[in-house]
Amino acid sequence: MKIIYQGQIGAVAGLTSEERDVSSDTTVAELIAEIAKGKPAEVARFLVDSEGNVSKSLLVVVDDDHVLDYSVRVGDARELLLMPPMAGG
Amino acid sequence: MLSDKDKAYYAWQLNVPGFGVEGQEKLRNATALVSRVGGLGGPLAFSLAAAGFGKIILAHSGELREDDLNRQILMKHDGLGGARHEQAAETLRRFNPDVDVESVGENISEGNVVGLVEQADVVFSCAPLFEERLLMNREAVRQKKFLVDGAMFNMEGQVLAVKGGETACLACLVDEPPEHWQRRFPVIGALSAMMAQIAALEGIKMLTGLGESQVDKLIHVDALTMNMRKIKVRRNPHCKHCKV
Ligand SMILES: [Zn+2]
Repeated sequence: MKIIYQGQIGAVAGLTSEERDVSSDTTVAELIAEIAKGKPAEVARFLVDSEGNVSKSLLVVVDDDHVLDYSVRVGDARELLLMPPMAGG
Repeated sequence: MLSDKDKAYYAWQLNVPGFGVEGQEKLRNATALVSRVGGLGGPLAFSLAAAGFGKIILAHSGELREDDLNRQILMKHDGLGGARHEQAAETLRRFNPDVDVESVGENISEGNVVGLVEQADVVFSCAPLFEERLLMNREAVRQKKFLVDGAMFNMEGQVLAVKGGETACLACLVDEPPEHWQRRFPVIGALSAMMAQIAALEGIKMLTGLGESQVDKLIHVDALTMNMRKIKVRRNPHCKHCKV
């Protein structure tokens, strides 16, 4: 699965995307928590809160579809895009 | 009725299929609120003036600084230190004297948002602060007005078009300022101007019925790759602004 990091996450991580083996029965919440574990704290803080739950302000997009329910399984999705809200005006 | 003068002035866009005299009349009768008028709102308001909106209300506080000039194209170098809203209004009036341009030397706040949105048919939310954007969103939803919100970071930008109370709103995506957000954002003026043009077109489309309004979609552009995504968004049942 392709994991895409946009906005501040991509900038802080110095990485715009990476491939990852993900089993289809993984939930979106589990996948994000797992990604966060492998990242330095300054990146992980955009993904999960102090309890390891998906960060309240993170925009989670699976195959160009905004996800509100993180308990859904990723199934055969091709892409997960993670983006903190942008504000520049 | 469009005057002969208007028909001549806007001749090139009257030929756009689906726009025509009817579209021009709708713009002529429309009022747009634009706040703020920096790198995003400035080029956006410029295009609204060129398109022939009847009235444009600009809301922006503060004085022009040197580091505004990489993107705030309604300003002038010799206006450094002067009020930005006045310079922006002056540029638009000189460009198209037939547009009624009103400027307010304030940013959007709880105190002015209701009255400003009431005067507008479409609100262009171009502020760099979530607090201001969310106020405009809340009022546009409550008053069932059109709203187009734009934002950017680095070489990426996004636009969300909203039909207030009907389609997904900004608060469906983010309902309070995010925790790790930084006030100063990196941007090249051409990027904010590009997002401004997408936002201006979506506003014009909603007002005139031209083409397909990109509501319930977050338009995301990554200028490093020139990839454009249309992310499907939907009304959040827990949205603080638009929940039914
Ligand atoms: Zn909403």
